[in-house]
Amino acid sequence: MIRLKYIALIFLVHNQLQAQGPPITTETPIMLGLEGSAIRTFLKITDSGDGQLTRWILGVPYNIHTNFQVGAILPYTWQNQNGGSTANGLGDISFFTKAMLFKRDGRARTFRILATARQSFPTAAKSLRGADQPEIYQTYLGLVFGNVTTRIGLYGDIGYRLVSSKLKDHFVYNFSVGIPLLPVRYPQKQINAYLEFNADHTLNGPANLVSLSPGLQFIPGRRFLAEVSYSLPLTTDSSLNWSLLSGIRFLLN
Amino acid sequence: MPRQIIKRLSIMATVLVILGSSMLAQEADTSRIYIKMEIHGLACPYCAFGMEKELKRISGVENVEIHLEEGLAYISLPTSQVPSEEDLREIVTDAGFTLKQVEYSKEPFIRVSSAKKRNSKTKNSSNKKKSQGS
Repeated sequence: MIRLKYIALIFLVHNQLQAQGPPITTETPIMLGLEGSAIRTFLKITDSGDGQLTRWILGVPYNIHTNFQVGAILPYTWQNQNGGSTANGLGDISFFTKAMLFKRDGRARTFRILATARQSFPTAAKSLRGADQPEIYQTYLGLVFGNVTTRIGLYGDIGYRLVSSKLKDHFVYNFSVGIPLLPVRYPQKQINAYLEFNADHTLNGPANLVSLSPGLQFIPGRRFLAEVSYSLPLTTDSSLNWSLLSGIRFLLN
Repeated sequence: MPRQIIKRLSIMATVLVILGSSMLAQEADTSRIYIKMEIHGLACPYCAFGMEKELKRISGVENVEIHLEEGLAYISLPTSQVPSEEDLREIVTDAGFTLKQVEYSKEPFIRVSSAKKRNSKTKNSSNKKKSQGS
């Protein structure tokens, strides 16, 4: 509770707010121009009642048009279950697209809405998904929006995840507030603070996951960014204890 | 006597070289065009990087200066390679932003942020003088 108060205090007291980077656990509505490409990679450790799951994610987006992005997400997973069983291997690979629907630019500000679609394929090894579990195809359709200024970034994404094999679909939404802690300059040296709200509701199912994720992001120069985020569950009907995300992003070209 | 003549001649030659090079340098400066662009949508440091990357691709551009808060980008390039406003609009649009205004000049632009700082400094110093006077 004290930690949450400190985070709230940072957001309320800070009045010298400057430019900030993309949110950590929420999608960003900013696609960086023609032929723009980047690499995002992070390690996410999730501790739940079932055990510990560590996922190393590699995401590669590429802009084939100013208003259209494609990309791939490759996960590698390590599982340590409470019973003592362990497994590791490639997880389910997914491909995504983002298309700009609306853009309104102003001086040092932008408001954007994107449509996004993501398709994941059951490439994970049987040992990872459990021998009795079916192969799952997941299709996510959603909207990404953001009002970004050099002083504050407000981001959100909302979507529906269709799951194959008679499993239940999910309704997913994330919101993020980001503020920079250092004065603006370009090339930048910036530390951004984020407070993010993540929700994943299983439709007609028992597992609703709602969590709060404070995070920090360090941008030491033009192309590189390092970030860390810690998620705490707000609901008691999920088995999540905590999750920690730590990663980096590179801009290419 | 001949030594003195040689000394004077060498001094004159040095002066001529310095003058000549400075004139050449001035000529090089006047052969460049300075462009100031007001770009909307530059709301994050990665946005500025995306814009800088595209502007650097313009032939003849060596330096790109971006002022995020003012939404301004400055470039300079040889007069023989000056892009039209339409070309610049296309480049900015392709980078994902909106070009609002372009200014071309034969002289370098006074930077808004530095001018602001100077103004605030002069205001501060005049306030100090006033307070000292009172």
